[in-house]
Formats: sequence, C-alpha cells, structure tokens
Amino acid sequence: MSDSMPQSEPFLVMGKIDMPYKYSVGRVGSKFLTELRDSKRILGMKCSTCNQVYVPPKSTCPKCFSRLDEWVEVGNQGTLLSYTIVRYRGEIHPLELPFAYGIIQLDGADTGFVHLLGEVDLEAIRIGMRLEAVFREERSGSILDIKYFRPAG
Amino acid sequence: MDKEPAAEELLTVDFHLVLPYRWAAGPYLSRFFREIRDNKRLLANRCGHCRRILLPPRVVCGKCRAPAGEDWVELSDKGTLRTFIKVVQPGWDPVEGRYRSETYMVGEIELDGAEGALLDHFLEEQDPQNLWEGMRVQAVWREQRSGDLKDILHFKVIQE
Repeated sequence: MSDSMPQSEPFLVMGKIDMPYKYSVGRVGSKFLTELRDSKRILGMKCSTCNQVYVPPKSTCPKCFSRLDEWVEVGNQGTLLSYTIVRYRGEIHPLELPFAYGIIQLDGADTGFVHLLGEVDLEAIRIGMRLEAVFREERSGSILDIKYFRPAG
Repeated sequence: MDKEPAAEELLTVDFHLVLPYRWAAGPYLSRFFREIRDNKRLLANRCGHCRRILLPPRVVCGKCRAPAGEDWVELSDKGTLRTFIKVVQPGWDPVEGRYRSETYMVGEIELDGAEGALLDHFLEEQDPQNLWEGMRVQAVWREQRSGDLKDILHFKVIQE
C-alpha cells in the first residue's frame, strides 16, 4: 500500500476525564458550614492586627499571616460589590440559565463573598444594591445551604 | 471532672467533575482509526529514513525527528505474543469514571508484518499459567466499532 492520503475530514476522538473526589473542608471551613446548617448564621474570622473580617473565614490572615481564631457573626444582609450574568451552559453551574453570580460584602465583613443572586430581574441588578441571604429549608452543611441572595427590603 | 468539649465536626465535600473533550486525530491517526472502524485493518507506516515500522502510524518518526513519509504498511490482525502481564492493582479508568474492578491480562503483541513494533492490548486468557512468549494470538473485533483501539475486544490464543 503506498497510495497517498485521501483528503478528508479529521477523525475526532471523543475523550473524557471523570474525576470524583473529596475535599476536606478543614476546621475553619467546617465550622462555617455547620453554623449555616444548624443556625443559619454566617460567620467571619477577624484579624485584630489588620482589623479585617474575612467572610468566608480564613484560618490565616492573608495580610499579616497571623493564625486567626476570633470568630464574629456578620449579618445576613449585605451590599453588592460586583456581579456577572451567566449565559453559557456548564455542568458545574447550579441554576438554569441565565442567572447571576454576585460578590456580596456582608454587613460587618471587609471582604466580598461570592454567591448566587435570585428572585431578581437580571436587568435590574445594580452594584451597591442591598441583598439578603435566603436559606434552604433542608440544609446539609454546604455553601448552597444559602439558596441565593435576593434584594432586601 | 471538667465537661468535655463537644467533638468537633469536620466536613468533607464530594465533587464529581466530568470533563468531556475531543481531539482531532490528524492525518495519519485519522486514517488509522477509520481503517479500524470500517475495514478491521491495522495500518502502520514505515519511516523513510530508519525504515522501522511506526505503530500507530506517525507523521514524524520519534527516532529520526523527521517526517516519516507515507509508506503505508497493512499489518495482520494475527501476531506473536512477546510478553504479558497480569494487572492485579485496579487502576482508575477515567473514561468510565470508576476503578477497574477486575484483574486483567495485558500482552505486548508483535503483529505479523510489524517487524518488531509492538502493540499493547488486552488478552482473553486470564491465567498466566496458560500463556508463554511466542504464542500465536489474533484480534477479536467488536461488531460495533467506533474507530478506537478498543474496537478490538482483546487478543485470543490461536492454534496454527
């Protein structure tokens, strides 16, 4: 056989990488999630040296590298710092399209907290709007125990 | 006695990440896979410089680092078992998304016409006591083929 290559479409090989795995949340993250689950409270971690409250909580201050253990409760309401509207399909997304992710600064926190926005007209979302957490009835110790944040008041 | 603190609850989160992808096999492998799918034929190409057989066929010879050329060679689906191994540690199968639960036999097979080029594939025989180097084997093809080396179910021992 020595005939030359026929001109044709490239052959497409379908592949898949399938990776189930477990992520250990750790002590600080576990307390954060169990408080969401058991008492619908959102906890942050304060660094007194830097006067910063981190939500979600951190075990180590990213500014001064101190070990942190000063838990503080922050509000279930906050202010929208930024947002994005998701219009493409991806298996990891928890909601039907289109929907919005927001970065929310909860009252008493110094950092932004990423979560879903719900019960809101996507076109009416504005930076600076007030939002409140909506908790699920059935909670499992997951970040999605907060169903989403909706406009407050 | 002091009151013992409540046991700390540590959580784990289960993820199941599935990443489907596809890749274009390029001119030589496209032909290789199409011939498997449509004609149950195994194709190789011979390097124009070092004259060795490349299986699967390659555009560039890995030894010469030069275009291997289009000297196509059709290989038999019969060959000689050169070595084999029994796999007993179940590995992760990323395509199936689970551990391979059974032990299995893998052979390195020199197909007739391959001149030393070896093909790794599964063997039908599961007892290593019944296998030896130099045995004759033949591919068992699937009825439904998609253009993949898995279109060969396994190699079976043949008497000639």
